[in-house]
Amino acid sequence: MKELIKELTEAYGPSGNEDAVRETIKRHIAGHVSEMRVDALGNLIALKKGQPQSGIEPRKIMLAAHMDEIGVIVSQIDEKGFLRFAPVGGVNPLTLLGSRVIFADGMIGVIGRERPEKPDEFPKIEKMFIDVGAPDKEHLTRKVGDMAAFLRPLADLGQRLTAKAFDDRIGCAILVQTAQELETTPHDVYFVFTVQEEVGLRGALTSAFGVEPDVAIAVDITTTGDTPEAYPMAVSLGAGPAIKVKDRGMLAHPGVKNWMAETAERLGLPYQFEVLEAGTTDAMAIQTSRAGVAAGVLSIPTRYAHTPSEMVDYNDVQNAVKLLVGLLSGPVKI
Amino acid sequence: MLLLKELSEACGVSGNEGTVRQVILDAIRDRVDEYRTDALGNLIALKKGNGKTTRKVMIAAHMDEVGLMIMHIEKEGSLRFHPVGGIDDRVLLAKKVLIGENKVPGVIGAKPVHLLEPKAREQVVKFKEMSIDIGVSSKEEAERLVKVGDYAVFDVPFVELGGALRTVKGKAFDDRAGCAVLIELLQDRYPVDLYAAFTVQEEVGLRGARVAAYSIAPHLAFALEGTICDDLPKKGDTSPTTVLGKGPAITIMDRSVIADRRLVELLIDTAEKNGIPYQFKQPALGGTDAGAIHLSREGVPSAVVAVPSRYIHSPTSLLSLNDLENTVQLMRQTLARVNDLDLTR
Amino acid sequence: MDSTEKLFQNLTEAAGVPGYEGEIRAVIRRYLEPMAKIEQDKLGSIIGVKRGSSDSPRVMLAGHMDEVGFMVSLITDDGFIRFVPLGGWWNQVMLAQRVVIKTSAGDVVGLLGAKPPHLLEEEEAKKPVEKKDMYIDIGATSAEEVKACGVRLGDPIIPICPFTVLAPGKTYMAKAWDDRLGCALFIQALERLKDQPHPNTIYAVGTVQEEVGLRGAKTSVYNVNPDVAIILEVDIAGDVPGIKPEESAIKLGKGPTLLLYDARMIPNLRLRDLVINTAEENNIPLQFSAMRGGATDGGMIHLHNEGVPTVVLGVPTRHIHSHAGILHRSDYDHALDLLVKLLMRLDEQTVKGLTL
Repeated sequence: MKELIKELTEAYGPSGNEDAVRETIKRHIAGHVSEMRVDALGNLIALKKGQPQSGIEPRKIMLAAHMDEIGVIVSQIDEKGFLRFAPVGGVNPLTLLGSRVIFADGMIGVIGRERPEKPDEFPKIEKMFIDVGAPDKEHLTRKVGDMAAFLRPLADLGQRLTAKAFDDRIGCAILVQTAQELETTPHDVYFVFTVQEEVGLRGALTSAFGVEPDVAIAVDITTTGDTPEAYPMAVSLGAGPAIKVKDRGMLAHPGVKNWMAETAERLGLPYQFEVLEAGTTDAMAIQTSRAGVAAGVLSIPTRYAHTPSEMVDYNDVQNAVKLLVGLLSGPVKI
Repeated sequence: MLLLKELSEACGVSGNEGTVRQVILDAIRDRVDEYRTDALGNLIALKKGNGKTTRKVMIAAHMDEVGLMIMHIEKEGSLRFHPVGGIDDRVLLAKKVLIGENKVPGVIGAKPVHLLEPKAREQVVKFKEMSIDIGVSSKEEAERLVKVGDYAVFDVPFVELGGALRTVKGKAFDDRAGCAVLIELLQDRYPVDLYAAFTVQEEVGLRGARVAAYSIAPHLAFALEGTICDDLPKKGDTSPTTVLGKGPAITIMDRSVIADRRLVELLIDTAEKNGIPYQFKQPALGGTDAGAIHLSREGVPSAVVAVPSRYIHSPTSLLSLNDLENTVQLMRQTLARVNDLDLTR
Repeated sequence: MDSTEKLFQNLTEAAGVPGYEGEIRAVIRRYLEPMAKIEQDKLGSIIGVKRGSSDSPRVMLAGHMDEVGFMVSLITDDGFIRFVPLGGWWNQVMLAQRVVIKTSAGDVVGLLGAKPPHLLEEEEAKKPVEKKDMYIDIGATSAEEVKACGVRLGDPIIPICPFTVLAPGKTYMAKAWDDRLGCALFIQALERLKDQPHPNTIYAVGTVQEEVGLRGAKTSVYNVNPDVAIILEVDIAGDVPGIKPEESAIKLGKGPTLLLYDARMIPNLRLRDLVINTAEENNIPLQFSAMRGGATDGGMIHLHNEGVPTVVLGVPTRHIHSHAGILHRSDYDHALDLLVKLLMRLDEQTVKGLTL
């Protein structure tokens, strides 16, 4: 699975420009699902049709992971060919200084900064720029509106992995792996790879309206409280995938939450509960679609979220896949 | 552009767009095949396609402007108010307003400079500390003229300023400019079914567009706007949001939507093939009806085209008739081709 | 206690923070069952359908069942409980208040701990404590003890406040007026119309999760699909020291309120005028208010599908979003009268006339 994770995290896909990620996922998931379609906004919706099993009520289940990552968009080009930019999604200015970014056509740029007015001034995006090394404006091929993503290769640290965009390529990888490992299921399972989550859960909103699921589980990252002087939080790397109770945007359906916990217990898988104070996932948009959906979230504990080097525990990832396969193989108990 | 004058001077703050709707209806009634008004007050008109098409294109321009609502009448007859839509407190003092159905004139009183201590001159007066003076001396007198809940608009006449860019000034170019463009577009018939949605309550949260999109269920959509133009005075090395006279502004991304790239490419290609000037709006600023429309149902590929307007959301805005006419041209030519656009993925 | 006061007591004392409305929903169900057919949406909102003399128009009444509260987010090694708010809380109304944690093993009572004044430095005493530095003390001395009592991450935490009739006799103190009051209104409106014909079908909806983003409103309106909606809420009384008339001119005892606008909705103007006219014709006092910084379920409901004419009726209440709020009986009674009169007027023609 590490190869899949590497391919997905290194792909280019800031919000609104997820084509490359979608093509990669399509290649890996074809052959393991009954049908695939891409909707108006670019969501990839792959259906694994259920095979009836006596005694189990078949349900319509939607799994969601978002394909887009945070990035930057060129807002102005100055006389000398330096590119001013605005954030796409929640970008922390601190993570930009000295970073490299890459555009869709493979061009690479470096982020520089104006001289600060005061020595300890907090860096502001308005005072930064991208330098693609063009000798002058005439030789520049970039345009206002071009988007760039962080450029950072995945590093395998053994038990742990670090890369950009685990948020939420790790969710995509888990969904792909689950589709591959899940041989049969009594339910109609929709593997939905959404677009534009980082700019407002937009793909989730429209794909949920189209799929109309009974139950939904989003697979996304969450933060941890286990680094030095971290914001207090009960989630730790390596203690198992996290079952979300609440975040800024949704309160998990208690039935879904309990079904996930009981299944983990039954299968002897580690897990932890999660209350996240800042941030939310696609599940928020899915939960209030039409007349409502019983929704929950399976979260992968991630250190240094929304930086170019996020970190996950490989066991947490594999256990997440096992839990999902276990959930989808049996009855929905909510 | 007589219609732009009438549209600009009509009064229609978010939630109370009736007068503007009437002006528009009178202008389009004979040009469209059907029209209706929905529960929120959106005016939705259909101009059927001239071919065998089934493709539905929605174009939205919002009728509402930012303004004020009267909240409280003081004992001595002055009126307390709240802004409706986003208004900078600093553009309010000393402005003339018209209140209610009867357009009762008033002024947002400002303290004369003689009375201002040096420190006070540097502070921004908040709207909560302001009041409207309609020239009465008691609450009873005031209540004969206005009531709590009445809307107030800025009292600004439309004036042609001329010049090489054929500039005009008036209130509410955001988005009466968009409405004017849409009314012009309805003169012609296109290869697609055109749903012209004159929406309500955009300024308070894209509300009209949301329900209009739901009922129309279009295949693709455009929002027409009057957008930020801060090219004067020039600020150093950084470029402005849009520039007056450089043509219609195409949005790549704002806070509410990432425009569908295929529609953006079509707009660019159409502009270049027809020699129409165009520019890009600086990304990540503002929001439009497209923000609500593109998320309707299972999603609608959407784009935004805007007429650059200086000083929007203040009593007097300014635009170039060249830009307005080029926006009409760009949309007209784009609508002639949009039926052939491949929307499969 | 008369039957209205008993209803107030039963509704306000029930527990139900966003996402955990089971207990209050059961109470409301008991009141609605004799009068209406019961449905639910998929988030837990309860819908009581009472058919009058016609299936249409469909009139939706919405009052949210959830109250503001908290949720367990961390159990410290020393046996104290960190929490996150569910709904908006001003940190200055929280310290030293009593709460109850609803665990799977039963109710666990606790206290939001506060430093005694003896230990406070002068500067420290002047600063408000941040919510993230607060904790709940259930009288334990270790994390194991806390867990042994049944407390787990995610457990809901409810304020404690018994319903009390206050000395003047016409005002009451209780928690959760926001928005059990709205629920009381739709329950008693249905009771009043039990044997009276009304020219419509009423959908009385107890929505969930309003305080965290109007979520139950968005999902319940989908099933109800109303032609017109009246939101029943508390309004903010400004007749206490510290609130200026420009901030709120609303007074206790001066009648129910009509919300002219809030952060998420401008009411349908014709419906607004209908409410004003109905109040005038029936000599019911009416106050006007606006809320720049807050919103109601109406924000979601009026934008459902192709739009729904919607208006908000409020009952002035002091000190909302704390452990104890106060309201005046006459404002509630007038609100109920106005609501019933409106329900009698909302026939097919009137509702059609709200749209142009």
